[in-house]
Amino acid sequence: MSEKSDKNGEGDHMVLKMLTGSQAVAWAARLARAEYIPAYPITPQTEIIEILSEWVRKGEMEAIFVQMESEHSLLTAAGTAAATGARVFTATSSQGLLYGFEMLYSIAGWRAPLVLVNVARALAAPITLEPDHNDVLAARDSGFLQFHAESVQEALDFVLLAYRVAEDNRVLLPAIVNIDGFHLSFTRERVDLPEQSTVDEFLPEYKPVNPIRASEPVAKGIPVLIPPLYSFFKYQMHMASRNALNVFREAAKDFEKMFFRSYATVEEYMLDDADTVIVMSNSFAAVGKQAVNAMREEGRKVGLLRIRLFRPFPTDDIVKSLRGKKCVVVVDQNISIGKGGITCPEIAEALYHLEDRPKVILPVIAGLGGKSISLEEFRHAVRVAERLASLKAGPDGPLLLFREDEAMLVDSLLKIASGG
Amino acid sequence: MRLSDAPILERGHIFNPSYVLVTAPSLLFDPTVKPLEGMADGSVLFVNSSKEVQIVQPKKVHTIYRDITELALKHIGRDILSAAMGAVACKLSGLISLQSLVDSVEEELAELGLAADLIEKNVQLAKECYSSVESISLRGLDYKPSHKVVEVQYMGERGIPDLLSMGNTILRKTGSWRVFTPIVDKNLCTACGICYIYCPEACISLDEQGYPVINYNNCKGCLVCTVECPRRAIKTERETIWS
Ligand code: SF4
Ligand code: SF4
Repeated sequence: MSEKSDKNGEGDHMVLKMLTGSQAVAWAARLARAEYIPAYPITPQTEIIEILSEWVRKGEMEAIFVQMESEHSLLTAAGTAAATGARVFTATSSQGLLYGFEMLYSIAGWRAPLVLVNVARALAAPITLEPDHNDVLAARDSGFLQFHAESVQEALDFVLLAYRVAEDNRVLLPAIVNIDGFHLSFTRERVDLPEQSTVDEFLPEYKPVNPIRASEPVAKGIPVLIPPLYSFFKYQMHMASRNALNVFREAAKDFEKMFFRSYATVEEYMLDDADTVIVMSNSFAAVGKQAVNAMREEGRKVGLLRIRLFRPFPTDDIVKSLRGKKCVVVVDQNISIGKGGITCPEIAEALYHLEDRPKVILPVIAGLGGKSISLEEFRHAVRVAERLASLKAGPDGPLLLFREDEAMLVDSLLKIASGG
Repeated sequence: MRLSDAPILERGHIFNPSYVLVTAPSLLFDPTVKPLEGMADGSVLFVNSSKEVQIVQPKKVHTIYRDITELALKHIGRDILSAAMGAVACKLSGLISLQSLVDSVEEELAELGLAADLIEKNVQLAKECYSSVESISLRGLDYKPSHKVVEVQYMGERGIPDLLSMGNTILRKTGSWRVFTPIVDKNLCTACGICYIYCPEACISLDEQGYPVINYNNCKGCLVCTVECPRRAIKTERETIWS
């Protein structure tokens, strides 16, 4: 395998390429020497498995590629293969993730590390193909680690980091790397493609704990009808996931030495002197940064905090970044119906006990179903938060903002739908 | 069942029972059941057993033994104990009249679709059990403070739900489940090995001559062997106490 795959590296230096998010994560799976790839097509994920199946067919990648009959089978195959000690890569999206949902909890409970790329797409109904994060956040409590990528480069790098953290025996949990459909999956960006030998060094062979072998039977995820045992194992998973924070930090240090890109659990953008901080994740954070730039030019002290690692939740780093700030605007690209955004309460809980906690935490819902977020919306949200701070008041509930032309578009489409 | 004049705030596990009814003496020693745990001085223990059982029980617990399995076999012909145990509980507590007991046995068994004659047998069983014990009122129960609390620690790889010790089912002594014990009559047995094949618990092994040997620690008393033996060589005996 190493001979063949060493072709990937093309010499001793890094290779700059223009890759889509799909190509980038496929490259990451190849460079990680994933051995088993169960697959099932779904828009906008299919390109990833098409690329991988082509490489496997041509013998450029030494892996077993299996087309399954559903995402439930896909995840079952992925988890059981990981439990035998194979390095497993798979990918799905949206409805597919939900169709296999039951198995997410099982795989995490088996403590079987693998990497699953979720290509974010909003959930039906009504149906769309554009992204938001209700799909990946539905898996929030499953035990999967969650890496949320802003760029194509991060998508690639996070797959490598995810294997390293997931397979660490202080963690032993599966991981999801989230990339936004279309905005990352089908968009070409400049990518430093790591060379194979450096990836091999960064990512040593996976050494499974108690792997299933024909000659040495082991039962995984055993029935524990005695309630204390069940709570015990669940809490062990939780603590293993908390360990992943430091394991990630260690891995990121090595990663930086080898690949010259540094990753903290969160990214701070113009935070130092900021009064108001916008919190975001994933690819739309780029437009958040653009809005920060624009508001900075207007003389507003605004910054942005981007969450890269969503599970385990990097509470300490978030506290470091947000304590002492005046306002926090949490832009959730998801909606928990009947509550609001999913991230906002987690941020609020992280800050609650601080003396110097922000005066206002404003929940904003934006980018649902891939709706663009305009500069005007960011500016409006920041103004609302700052006004609430000066009034010493709290928000009523999450804001959902439209530009006027979007509201008019919705109105005209509703007219057509009603035949009026 | 949860019924009281005042709201009942206990849910699930009953930590400090006033009355404990044990359907089989073997359960007294079962580490996963621990029926005696949390009993206070002055509480009442009823054991379905023909004999007294040696219990290490420092507390002053009022203990009663009756063989209600015998009564169930007499009335119903099978060791079905729900009506019988219910009747004992009603009487011991002194809270429920014989008529209420009979009414509810009839009602609940009719809901299950039991035939009228079987319901009548259960009523007779319940009546006899009701009259076989006296009501015992509770005097100022003195509960001891409960356990210390510990915080769960991270256990590394030991905290993974993997089972590596194969063949550990023998640790679960299912022999305590038996009501009837299968006993091989060597005079009738031809060492054909059929019982050995049929035992669902793999509790029967064959000795050097090919005769069956039953492991009574784990034989759960299902009596499949008795039914399958073509020579009717496996007799059954009432299990009075499990050793
Ligand atoms: S009674 Fe059942 S468990 Fe016991 S030896 Fe016979 S078949 Fe096996
Ligand atoms: S089935 Fe009956 S005859 Fe055959 S070995 Fe068992 S006890 Fe003996």
